[in-house]
Amino acid sequence: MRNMNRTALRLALALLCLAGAGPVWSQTESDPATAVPQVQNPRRIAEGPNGQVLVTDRRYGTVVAVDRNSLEPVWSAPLPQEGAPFGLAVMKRLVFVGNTSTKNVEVYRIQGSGGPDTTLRFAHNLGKIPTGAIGPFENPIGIAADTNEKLVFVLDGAAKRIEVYKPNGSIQFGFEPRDSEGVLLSPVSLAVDELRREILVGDYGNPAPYWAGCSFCAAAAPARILIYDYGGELLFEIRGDGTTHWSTWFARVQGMAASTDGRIFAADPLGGRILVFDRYSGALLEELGTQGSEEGQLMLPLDVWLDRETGDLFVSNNRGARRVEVLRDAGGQQ
Amino acid sequence: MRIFAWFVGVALLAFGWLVLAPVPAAHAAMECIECHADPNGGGFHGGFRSLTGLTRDEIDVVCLSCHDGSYTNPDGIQAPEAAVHEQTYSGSGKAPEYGTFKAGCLDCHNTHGLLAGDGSLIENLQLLGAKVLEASSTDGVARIRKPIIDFGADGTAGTDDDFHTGWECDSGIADDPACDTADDGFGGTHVRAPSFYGNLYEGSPWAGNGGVNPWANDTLPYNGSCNSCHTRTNHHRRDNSGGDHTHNIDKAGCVACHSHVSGWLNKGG
Repeated sequence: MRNMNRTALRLALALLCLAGAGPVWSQTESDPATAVPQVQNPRRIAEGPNGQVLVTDRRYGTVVAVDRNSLEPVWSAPLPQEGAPFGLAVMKRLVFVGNTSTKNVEVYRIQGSGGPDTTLRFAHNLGKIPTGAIGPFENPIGIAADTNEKLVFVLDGAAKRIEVYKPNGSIQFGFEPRDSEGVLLSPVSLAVDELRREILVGDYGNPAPYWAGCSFCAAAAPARILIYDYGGELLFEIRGDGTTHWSTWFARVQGMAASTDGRIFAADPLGGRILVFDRYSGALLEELGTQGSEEGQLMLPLDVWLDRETGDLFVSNNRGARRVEVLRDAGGQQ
Repeated sequence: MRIFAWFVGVALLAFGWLVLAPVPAAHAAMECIECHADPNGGGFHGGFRSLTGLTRDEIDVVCLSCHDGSYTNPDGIQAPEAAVHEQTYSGSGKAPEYGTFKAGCLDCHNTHGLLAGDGSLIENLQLLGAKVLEASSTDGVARIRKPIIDFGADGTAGTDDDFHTGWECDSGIADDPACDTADDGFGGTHVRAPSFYGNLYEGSPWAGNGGVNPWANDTLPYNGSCNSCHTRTNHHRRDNSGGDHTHNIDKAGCVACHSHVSGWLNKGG
C-alpha cells in the first residue's frame, strides 16, 4: 500500500512537471507588500513592454513593472523561494534575471496584458542548466540584451567574466574585461550599445595604496568605463582620473546606457548623479540630477535606461525616495 | 663609533620612511580612500574627502556604494551585501507596530575601529563589540549609543507605545550636532562613529551570551547587539517587557532569520 502511494505521488509530480509547473512560486516573504506592487530596493532597470520599465528589487525578491508616465508600480512578480534578483535584461517578452541565490540567469516569459495581474512564467536557465539546479554564475549582477542580434550578455561580477548567450540558453563565447594593460580589476556593471555593437563595462578600479613616486603602488587604478566590441576586443577606456580627458573625473560608475548620437549615460552611486560622457573623446559632457532624499532627487542610483524615442532617462534610485525616477528629455531627441 | 652613529643616522633619514610607510595592503583590508573617495576626485586616488557634514543618508551611500552586492575587489574579495535597518516608508502594511525607525551604518559599525592603536590603519571596519580600543573605553569592548526612548502616551517604559526617537550622545541631546563633530580622539572629527560619541549603553559584548548568540542575550542584562535597542519587538526586549528571551536563542544568531541583506527586518520576523 505504501509503495502504491509513493508511486501515485511520483506520478503526480511527473504530471506536474510535464504540465510546466516549474519552480514553486512561493514568495520570499509572506508580506502584503508583494501583493501591492512597490519598489523598495531597486537595482537594475530595463525597458519593458506595455509602456513600462522593469526593475529588479532585492527587498522583496521581485521583478517590478513601473509605468513610464506615472512612475507608479503596476505589477510585481516574486522569484521562486529565496530568489535574489540582481541583473536584468528584456528581449520583447522574455525577461532575463540574474538570481544571485540560485546562481543562474533565469529566463521568464511575461504573461498578461501589463495590468496588475501580469505574471512571469519560468522558461529556462541560460547555459542549459536544469531547472532547480544551482547555476554557474557566482554573481550575475549585470545583464544586457541586443534584440537585433538576439544576444544576451552576462557579467559575473565575482568571476569577473562576461559571457554571451543566445536567448535559448546556448553559450556563444566569453571573455574577461581587461584593460589596455591586460589588468582585470573590479567590473560592477554592464550595458550594450546595439547601434555600435559595443559592450560597456563599469569598473570600480583598484584602491591599492598610491601616492606620487611610490614604487610599489603601480596596481592603483581609477574607476573607469571599458568599451569592447562584440568579440571582446578592447576599443576605448574612459578613466575617472582625468587621463582620458581633462574634464572627466568620477570615483564610481554603475549602470549605463548609450544614446544613438554617441553619448554614454552612467549612474554615479557615490555622487548621486548621472554622468554623461562622449563615447569617442571620453569627455564628461554633463552631470544630471541632484543628490537628495526627496522624490525627483537621486540617492545611490544604480542603473539607467534611456528611452530613445522620447529621450527620457529612467533611473533605478536605490536610496532616498527608493523608486524609479525619470529625467525627462535628458537624452534629447535621438 | 661616531662614524657608525653618523652612518646609522643617515641610513634612518634615507630609508626610515620604508618602515613608517604603510605596507601595500593585502586587499582583505580596507583602504581609507575606499570610503573617503571624492565623487569628483578621479576614482579611488584622485581625491580625499572628509565625511564630516554629510547627512546620514549620504553616509549610508558611502557604505552601500560598495556593499550593494555588486563589488568584488581586485583580489577577488566580494564586499558583503548589506541593507540599512530602517522602516521609514508607509503603506507597506508591514509590522506597523514597530513604527518608523532607522539605524544607519555608523549606528552599529565603527569604521575607525582600530585607529586607537590596536592594529593598523587599514584593518578597521569593526562591528560593534569587536575587539576595539576606543577613546572612551577601558576594557577594549565597543559600545553602541543609548537610544532615546519616548515612552508614549502612558509615560511608561516597556509598553507597546514606546518609540525610539533617536540616539543619545555625550550631551544627552538627541541628534545634537555636537555629536557629529566631537573630537574623535585622534585629532580629527567624524560623523557619528558610535563608539566614540555614544553614552556607553550598559555592556554590549560582541561575544555575549557565551558566544552562542551575541546578538541577543537571554539573561540579564538584555544587552546583546540587537536587543540593546529593541523595545517593541515581540522577543528579546532590552527592558524585559513582553515576549521572551529564548526565541531562537540557540540558533546561529538573530541573523539566521534577520539578515543584513534584508536590512534585518524579516524573513521570519
